[in-house]
Amino acid sequence: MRSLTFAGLLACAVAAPGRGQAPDAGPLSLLLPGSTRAAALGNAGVTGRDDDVVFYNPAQLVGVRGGFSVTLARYSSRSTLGEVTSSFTGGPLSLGWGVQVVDYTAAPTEPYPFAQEVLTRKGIAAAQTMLGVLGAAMTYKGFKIGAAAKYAEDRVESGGNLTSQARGAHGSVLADAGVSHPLWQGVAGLSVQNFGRPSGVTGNRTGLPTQMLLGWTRGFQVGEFDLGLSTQVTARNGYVSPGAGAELGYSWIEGYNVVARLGARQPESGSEHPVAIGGSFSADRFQLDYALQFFDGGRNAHRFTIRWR
Amino acid sequence: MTRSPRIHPALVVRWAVLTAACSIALACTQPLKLAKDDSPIVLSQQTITAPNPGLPGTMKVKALTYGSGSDKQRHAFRDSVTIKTKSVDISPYVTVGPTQVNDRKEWWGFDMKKVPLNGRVWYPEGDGPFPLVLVVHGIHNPEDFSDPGYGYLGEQLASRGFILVSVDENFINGLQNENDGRAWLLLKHLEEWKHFNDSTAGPFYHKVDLTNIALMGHSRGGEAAPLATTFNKLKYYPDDAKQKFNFGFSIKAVVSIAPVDGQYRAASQLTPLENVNYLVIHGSHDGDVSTFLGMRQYERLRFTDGRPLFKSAIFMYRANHGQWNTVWNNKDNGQRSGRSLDLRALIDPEAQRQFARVVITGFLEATLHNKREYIPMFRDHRTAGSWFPHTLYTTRFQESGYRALAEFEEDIDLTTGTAPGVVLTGDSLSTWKENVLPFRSGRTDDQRHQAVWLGWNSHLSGPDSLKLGKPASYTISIPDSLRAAWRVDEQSAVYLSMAVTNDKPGPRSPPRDTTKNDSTKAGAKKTPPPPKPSKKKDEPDTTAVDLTVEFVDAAGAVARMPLSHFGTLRRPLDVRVYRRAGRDAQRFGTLFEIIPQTYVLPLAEFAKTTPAFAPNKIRAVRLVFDRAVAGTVVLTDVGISRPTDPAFLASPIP
Repeated sequence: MRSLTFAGLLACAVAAPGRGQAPDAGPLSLLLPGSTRAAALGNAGVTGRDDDVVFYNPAQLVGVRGGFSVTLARYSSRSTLGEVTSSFTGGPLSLGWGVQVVDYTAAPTEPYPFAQEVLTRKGIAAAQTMLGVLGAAMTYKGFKIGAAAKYAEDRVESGGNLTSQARGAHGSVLADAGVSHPLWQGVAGLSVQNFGRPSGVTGNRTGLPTQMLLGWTRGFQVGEFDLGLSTQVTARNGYVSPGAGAELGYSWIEGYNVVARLGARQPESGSEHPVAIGGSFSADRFQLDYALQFFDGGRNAHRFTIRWR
Repeated sequence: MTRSPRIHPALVVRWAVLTAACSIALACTQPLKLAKDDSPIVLSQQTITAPNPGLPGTMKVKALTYGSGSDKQRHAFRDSVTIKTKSVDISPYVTVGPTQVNDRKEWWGFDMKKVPLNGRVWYPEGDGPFPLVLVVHGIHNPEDFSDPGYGYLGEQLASRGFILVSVDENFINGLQNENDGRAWLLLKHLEEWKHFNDSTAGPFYHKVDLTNIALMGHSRGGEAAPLATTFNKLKYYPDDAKQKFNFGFSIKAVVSIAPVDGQYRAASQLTPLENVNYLVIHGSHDGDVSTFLGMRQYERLRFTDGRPLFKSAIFMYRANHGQWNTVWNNKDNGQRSGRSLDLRALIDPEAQRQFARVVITGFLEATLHNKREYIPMFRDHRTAGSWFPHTLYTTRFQESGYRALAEFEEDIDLTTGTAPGVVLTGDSLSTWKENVLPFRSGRTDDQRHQAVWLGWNSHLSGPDSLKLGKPASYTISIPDSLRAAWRVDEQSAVYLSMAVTNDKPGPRSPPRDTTKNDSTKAGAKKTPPPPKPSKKKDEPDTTAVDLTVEFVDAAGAVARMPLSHFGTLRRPLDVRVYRRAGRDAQRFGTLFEIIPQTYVLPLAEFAKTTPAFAPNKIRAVRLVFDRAVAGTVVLTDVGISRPTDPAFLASPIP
């Protein structure tokens, strides 16, 4: 029974997804991967173990090694993402915070709310999307539980020929909650995200991507290698997106290791490719992560994270 | 015209990445550093004439298993058991956390209320009765069964007339605070062996010599073995009188292999132990129990019943934790030990096990078969030089005739000894202080045993850097009444244990010349400052230290011998356990463990050099630091023995 459930979950996660698009929702920052590691693992981050898990499941902040991460991603020559996250422990609580800002340009004909692929195209209207999150977590009766408060905003230049819906600022105060627990020698995690009221200074309100993330991850030792499997299902307004990834790590001496990652998920939009790859190198408290996402037309998004624990 | 070769950027990048990776890998691995091997000299002699106990004996070896007969995970204790045994309830001594209860029960097929009595037995063919030896493993991956790993000892001991039982306690591995249970289970096995010996139907009917029992353990088992020996004499479990004990077995010898200490503390006390022969061995490159914790149990063992008992501790350079078990081997830090531990430093696994064969068999032959001719190797490993694998050893030894003159624990007065009336004096010493012996892990833990630090430098400060002063000395004066009470005579021997540290005190001030002006008064001629030491860092001095031991009798006759006659006084043995450069320094307070070597100095040998010296009138033991210009030694366990068995002083090095 156990293995059947596991196989079902895995199959669900890695099955070749169709090209169905996610329903319109915004701000854009809520739809972007919050973690370089997760980005290379089919965006399966709900059971993540780094401080940027605050973007996926605040419950997982329990046990995260305190540290500081800086991420830089380039979707195109006019589109740059910057992200900072950190976590620490205060008494019984594990706390974490993160800020993500993307500076990009949007084409006049781009429909709003924007999808991730807008970042790979060059436009004429300057735009920004940002997300700030503050989370806390603790252990209760063997379960990790956590909650997070967020503020997300899209800001688009008013001029040009942009659709009227896109112009101005769209900000929302939101809340997330999550739980995780050891399961089948791994960790299962569940989080519900983006509860709140959308707002916009122009009065153009768009739907929030209120969603549920359910995932499971486990590590194995395969000879001298470490194999990790991560799975996640994202459900949003009837849209279901499975995702999964595997990572293979090798350490030749205590404190140093390299990891190769491969992931797949049902993309949010038609021009995003399902497969992503990545890797990392760590030396004691330093870690460098890299992820590569593919888009139609030979366009790629490169994402780097430097982490200091 | 030749075309210049084209450089492909991708190729350059690839090589750059590869070079960077190799540089990082090599940069963080430290070069192999080992202490200079003096074994070709130190182990060049052999004064014990008995057969090598490390070689197989003449008896044919048989093997079987006993156990529950229904073990879910262990076919050796399921289908092929020769004797079926009942389960026992270990739950009063072992607690399983609530998150593990179900998983463990599902995996093992039983809970702590019904644990099996499983054992692998190697035994000699013959009528017996044969002494019984139980060995128990320590903590290890419970699914990587530890009990088969002592088969090499089973084959060896059975061939020499012992029954060896390797006890299965894998099912309590992975738990915490379980070592009292580990010990209690050993005693339950002994109860089972009493039944085996009484059972006419079984293969051991009247073949077990239950008056000659030894317990042996490795790692946590190394603490469990002495703990079981203590439990054996108690009426109640120390933590709960509802658990009554009624064992009373004749346990004559205990062996601890790389043991832990203090995992179990009855009434918050470390396990007391008395009146049993004890051997503890430990490796310098132990990647698990990285300090010689067994020294604490060694020091706590007391002999009070007048029987000729002894204890010995042997520190083996380049030995690790796991190679004394063929299952554990060189995985002291888990399956991927090679990533963190410097496995290049380890002695060959077979050599490490051969050492175990020699000393464990020799110890059991001496204590259970009464072959006392093997005892000298536990006093001085040089007496069995041809039996020991070539590496460096440090040996501690004490026997039941030993009486303490100075163990530096009784008070904080530097001038008083342990025995009443003993006076300690120092002359021209640069360092003279008492302190607890540290472990190399330093900081929070220590050997729970005191010692005195004695430092000297014969150089006198001043312009003449070659000028030497009077040698420093340290004297232990023995009152006549004590000497008489202890019946000290030519059969007696002085015991002392000593280690060298890396500390070298600076040149000492010359004695004041009272014929000249008082230098403290104005106008006195100032002596020039001593030359500044060279900034160039010297290579570490690896030459052995030596000193002169003087025995002084009541008439003033002095007999002198160099300490080196009775053993090597080595400089500290640097140990680097880890692969990463700097990791050892980060982890440990020092790179070396202070394990004092015991020197046994028979008074008769001194009397041979100086016929005027009367051993029965000895009044002082003086250490004269005249054979090395400068240094610091750590001295402990100074005493006198009138041995209860001549074997304790037998086979001296000529």
